[in-house]
Amino acid sequence: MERAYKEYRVISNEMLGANVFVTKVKGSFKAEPGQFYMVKAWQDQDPILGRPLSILDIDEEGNLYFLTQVVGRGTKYMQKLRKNDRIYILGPLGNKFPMCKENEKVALVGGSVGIAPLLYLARKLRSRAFKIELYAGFRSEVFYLDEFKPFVNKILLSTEDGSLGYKGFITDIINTGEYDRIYTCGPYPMMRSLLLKAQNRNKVICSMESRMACGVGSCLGCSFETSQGMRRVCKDGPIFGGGVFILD
Amino acid sequence: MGLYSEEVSLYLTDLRVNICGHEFKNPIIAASGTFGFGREYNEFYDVSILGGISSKGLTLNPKKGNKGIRLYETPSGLINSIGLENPGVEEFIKKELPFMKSLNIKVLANLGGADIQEYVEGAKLLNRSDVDFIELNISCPNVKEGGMAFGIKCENADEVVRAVRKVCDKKLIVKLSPNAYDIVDMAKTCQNAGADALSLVNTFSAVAIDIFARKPVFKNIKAGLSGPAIKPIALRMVYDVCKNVEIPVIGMGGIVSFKDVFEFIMAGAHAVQVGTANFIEPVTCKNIINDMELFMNEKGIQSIDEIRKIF
Repeated sequence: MERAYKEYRVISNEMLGANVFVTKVKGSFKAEPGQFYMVKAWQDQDPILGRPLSILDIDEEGNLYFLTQVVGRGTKYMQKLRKNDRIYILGPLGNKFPMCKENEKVALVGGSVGIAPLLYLARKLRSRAFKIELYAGFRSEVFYLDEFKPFVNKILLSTEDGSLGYKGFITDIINTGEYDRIYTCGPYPMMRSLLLKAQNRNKVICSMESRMACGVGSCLGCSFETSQGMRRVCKDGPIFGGGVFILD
Repeated sequence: MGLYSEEVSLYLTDLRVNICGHEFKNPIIAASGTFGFGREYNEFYDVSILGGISSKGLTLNPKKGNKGIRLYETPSGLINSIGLENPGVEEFIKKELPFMKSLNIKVLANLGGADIQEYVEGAKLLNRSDVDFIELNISCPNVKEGGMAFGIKCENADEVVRAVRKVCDKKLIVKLSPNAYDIVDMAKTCQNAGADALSLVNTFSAVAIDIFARKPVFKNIKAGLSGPAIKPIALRMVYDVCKNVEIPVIGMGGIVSFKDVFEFIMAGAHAVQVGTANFIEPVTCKNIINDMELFMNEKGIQSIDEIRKIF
């Protein structure tokens, strides 16, 4: 069965703040929490590569949502998408978050747009977990937290400038011992301090971000060294158990 | 979907090409470092339709590759600094080669090395294996020792090609760097040193700088540029080399479509390698093969030989 970039249409593209936006794509997407897609807002060969984006959500109709921050040329083109514009998508790719066991106490720890894969995860975990608590850390602007409310028991918030919630890093306010399982996604320094804080690193499950060229495991552009050898974020991940990280 | 993919095939065309006595189903070879050992892309389409696959660049011993940023996109191009992350020759022969051979395609083992001894030891192991070709990589810009160092000056290339030639009964392709002082002199040198064929070009030595951090993007400062941005220069180099050597040339550099392939063939290449374009679209090689066949049917071209080196 051939798998290639396929053309879809944008339902809406909504700015949430200065440089963060949610893109809603029409389709009958099926994917597991933790997987990602390679996305292009353009058809010609410049920029040449798709952008790896995690799944913010897939609604009941199968429409796909991305939460994106403008960081370069590719994401800037994506930000300019309007209703009915074409968008090119490859996937789903990568592995998935392992589900929690029945009645576990779960924390979700997200940094900035790193909250994205945690929403679709929360949707799937809601019926299994005893409780789910979201820890969301931002620089200054806070976005997309209301959408978590139907799926989580509590939302704890931090901003680096103190404009909302706790002033500082989100990892300052979590007591990792309270939870049976912790899912996290965000900047590597955030995940690193969470891993250093956790007494049992194996109960922390990390969704890694990386620059990618192929997204399918061939270019080795996203390889990094783990305690089990070199691993590719796109193909062996993006989900990794906290135990494999070398925290030097 | 390829440009010609909706039209109907009317004539029988022959896409086969022969390089050093090895018959390829078609002139499309997946380029080293962009296709792993074929397994990943085989999940996207049946890669046994390819003419061949050039393996990820191998070294005698396993390598972890480079630290820091490995990829940086530029207008119509990609700079990479992977640094030959690979499982080593022995592991390749044991774990990856059987899969590649099972595809019934031509297998090129791309071999790098830090010094002549390492190249020779790697070549000896590959010589005893089932690979169809050894593609000697004297052009990787991303390793500190060896690699491209052998591909800049003719005397260094001469030495390593002769040393490997002595221990290698397999057909030997030498992969040239566009960073050679003079690509034609380099090509002639490798021909005279015993190469059975040449492949060119590898990536162009390139730099990117993070102006906010005020430092180079890559730890090694220099890295290798590929993609559509380099195609016209790669094509010029292939044209120049084809005019000046007798042995077959495998052309590459920025090929993304069947049109690019025909340009390289008309410039004199026997076959081509497709690299970065696999990242742009995983089914690129399949689209190219389909489009080549349809174009040849439409234009009444019966074989690749008919249109090679037309000027």
